[in-house]
Amino acid sequence: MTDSTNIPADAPARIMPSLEALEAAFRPLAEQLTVEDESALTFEI
Amino acid sequence: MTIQEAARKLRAREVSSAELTNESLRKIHAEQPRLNAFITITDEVALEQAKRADDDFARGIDRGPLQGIPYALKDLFKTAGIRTTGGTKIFDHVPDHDCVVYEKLRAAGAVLTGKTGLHELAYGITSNNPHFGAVRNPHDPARIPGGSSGGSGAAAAAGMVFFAMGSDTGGSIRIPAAYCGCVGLKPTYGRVSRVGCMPLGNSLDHMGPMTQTARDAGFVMDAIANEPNNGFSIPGFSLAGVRIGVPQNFYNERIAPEIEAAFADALKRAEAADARLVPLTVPDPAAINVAGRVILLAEVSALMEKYSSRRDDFGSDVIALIDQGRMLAATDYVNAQRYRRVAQRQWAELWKIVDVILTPTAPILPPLIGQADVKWNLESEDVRLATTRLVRGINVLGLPALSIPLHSDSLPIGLQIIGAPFQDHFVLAVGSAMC
Repeated sequence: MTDSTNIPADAPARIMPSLEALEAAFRPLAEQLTVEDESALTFEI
Repeated sequence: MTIQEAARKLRAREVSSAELTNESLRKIHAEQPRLNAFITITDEVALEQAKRADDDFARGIDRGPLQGIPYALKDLFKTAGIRTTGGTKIFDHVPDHDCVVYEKLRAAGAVLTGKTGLHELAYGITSNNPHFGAVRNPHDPARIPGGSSGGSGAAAAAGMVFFAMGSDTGGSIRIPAAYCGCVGLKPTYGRVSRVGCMPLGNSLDHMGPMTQTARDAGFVMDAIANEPNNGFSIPGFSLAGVRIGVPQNFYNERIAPEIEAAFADALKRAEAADARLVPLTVPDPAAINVAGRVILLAEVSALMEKYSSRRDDFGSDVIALIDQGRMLAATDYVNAQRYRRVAQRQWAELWKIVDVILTPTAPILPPLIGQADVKWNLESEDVRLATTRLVRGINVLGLPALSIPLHSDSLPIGLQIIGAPFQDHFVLAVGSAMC
């Protein structure tokens, strides 16, 4: 499990706006997925 | 001079590898104070490898078009006995083994002149490195060369070497090719070995060549691809009948006017050469970019977890991204990989109606060093997001993509040629015909 204790106290305030924007943009994509969609975690072509 | 021309001269005994190498080293040393394209210059290794190439020619041994040709490696390709840094304090070391690409290039008789500068960890597009200094654009040293393979782009475009190897996780070969004015190929995912290269995003990393011509990139691919000598370099290709997809969405939005004009001109030339232009709606590149950012943030932070106690050894932009990746939900990463398969299936349909897709490589001209934003009427966009906007998704899809320089009266402009999986040779052939 990630030990986030060494992330400085100001880091969340500094980085969360862009992370939250990314997560907000990603959420509708994740919601499109059905349980039948690929579950593979590795990428192949 | 191109690889093709140099290879002919070497075989006609009009020039020796030692002469080409000395000239290459002279240019590298002369340009280093202006462009800072290299982290390590390997004079002794180069002269030794050049001598071996000349000795082989004298004995009638011909290892192919790269024999005796000076080149450079981005400083994340491991080279035994030669400093390799990954552009970071964290990985600055002298490896005891070679990466596969260097082994293959040595076997092909190419001559290593040095290790090029890059964005720290290859995690960014400016190549403004806090530990090794800013790499500068050969067309205007006040501007970035792009990145992360900025040193390789500058070295190839300025003719310091005949080719340079780069890596591309979200555009890092194609962006410096476009900003510096050279050719850069991101091959199909998995086509060139990553063994012995410092990873960034394990499922997004691609290794590829940066050259002066698409034909030359084919010669390098013949030597480094996992299936060697399989005809990446096609002479005399005609565009007649080639179905060129021209996106009518996303790839034509927020494009600088100079780039729009150069792109339109390239399409006209293709049509004049009897290519068939096919207007296309491309399935959701914005969504693919978002998934790509999620995957990259998570994969890099997972790799860097071991070094999380050394925060002060990272540059401020890189540590901010590592922090973001550590706060990302694991479910987002899993779903981003799942979405990637959906996007791959959607794009597979496109290859039934077109052979290649053309887009600008970058929507903006090379930004100034230190420039943070680009203005679009009332809106502003982070330079990093603007620069990667048209290229990042292609890493998510794993497709081959080439950037070639377009005619420009001002700063360099790149044309991106995207192909179907494993059609690298076709992408290169179209690139050769359009140069």
